[in-house]
Amino acid sequence: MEPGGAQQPLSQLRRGVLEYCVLSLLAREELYGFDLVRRLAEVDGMVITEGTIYPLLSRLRREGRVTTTWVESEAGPPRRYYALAPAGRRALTTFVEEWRRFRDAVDHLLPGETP
Amino acid sequence: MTTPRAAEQLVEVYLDRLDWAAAGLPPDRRDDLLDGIREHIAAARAADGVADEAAVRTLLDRLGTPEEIVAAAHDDDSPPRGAAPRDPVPPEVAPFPAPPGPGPSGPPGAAATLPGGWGPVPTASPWGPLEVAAVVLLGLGGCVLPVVGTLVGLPLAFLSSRWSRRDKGVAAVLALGPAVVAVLFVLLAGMVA
Repeated sequence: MEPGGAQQPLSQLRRGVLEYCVLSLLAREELYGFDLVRRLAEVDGMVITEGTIYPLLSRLRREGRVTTTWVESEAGPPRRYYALAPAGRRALTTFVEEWRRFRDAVDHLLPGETP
Repeated sequence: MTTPRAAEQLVEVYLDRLDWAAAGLPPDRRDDLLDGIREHIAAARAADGVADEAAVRTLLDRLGTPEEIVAAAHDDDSPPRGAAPRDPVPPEVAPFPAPPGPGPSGPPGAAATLPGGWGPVPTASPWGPLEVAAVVLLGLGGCVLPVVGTLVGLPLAFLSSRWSRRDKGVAAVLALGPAVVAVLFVLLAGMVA
């Protein structure tokens, strides 16, 4: 799917950043798995294969960064809603600061839009 | 050709393949993963009104192959995260193949042949003391002490943390099936007599 070259570092980067994008979406509202996955997939370049989000969600739950609750659904089986846990909020806050610094550093060094 | 039955079959084959591919994961995580994907498929079909075969195929394509999903699960817990040197070769994973008509298309060897570069698969042995005791009680115990063996063996099997829900289900059917058949037989005989 990703033929090496310049795609490889980006996929590594995406993998590292994806969980904070998940936490960030959950900081706004609780979401069930399908909704969460589709919102990530709507952002171009963020998710290649939707199914690979589920192992990530599973780990975030085991690490106590998100919590889940089952909610009855009017159509179909009950749904598992994901919510941000306090540990997840702390991790997100730390990451946002580090990311801004990192992003500015890279923008500063790369040729292009920055003066 | 575009029947709801064909669509159901696509989903079943996909979930079977996922279950196979996930055999190397700890059972609780395997169950968790399968629950998540199953729920996703149900929700997607409800949201988009997906019923026909082509639409289901698109839905499954978006999910990725079962092998890709399981590879992500293995990759996700290779400690320490982000620090381990990774194989520069991207995983070559076949796209979701069109199932050839009826019959399962899941490759039985999928669990053992994860794409290169993901490191050794941590395959936990399904046989601990608890599991051996459960099987001995269910098998031998069921013959020597027909009721007691089964009554003790089954709870043991269900306590296992090494077996997935599917493994436990198989144990229950194998242990209780003959008894249920015997009871039905006796009841039928009673009705006839």
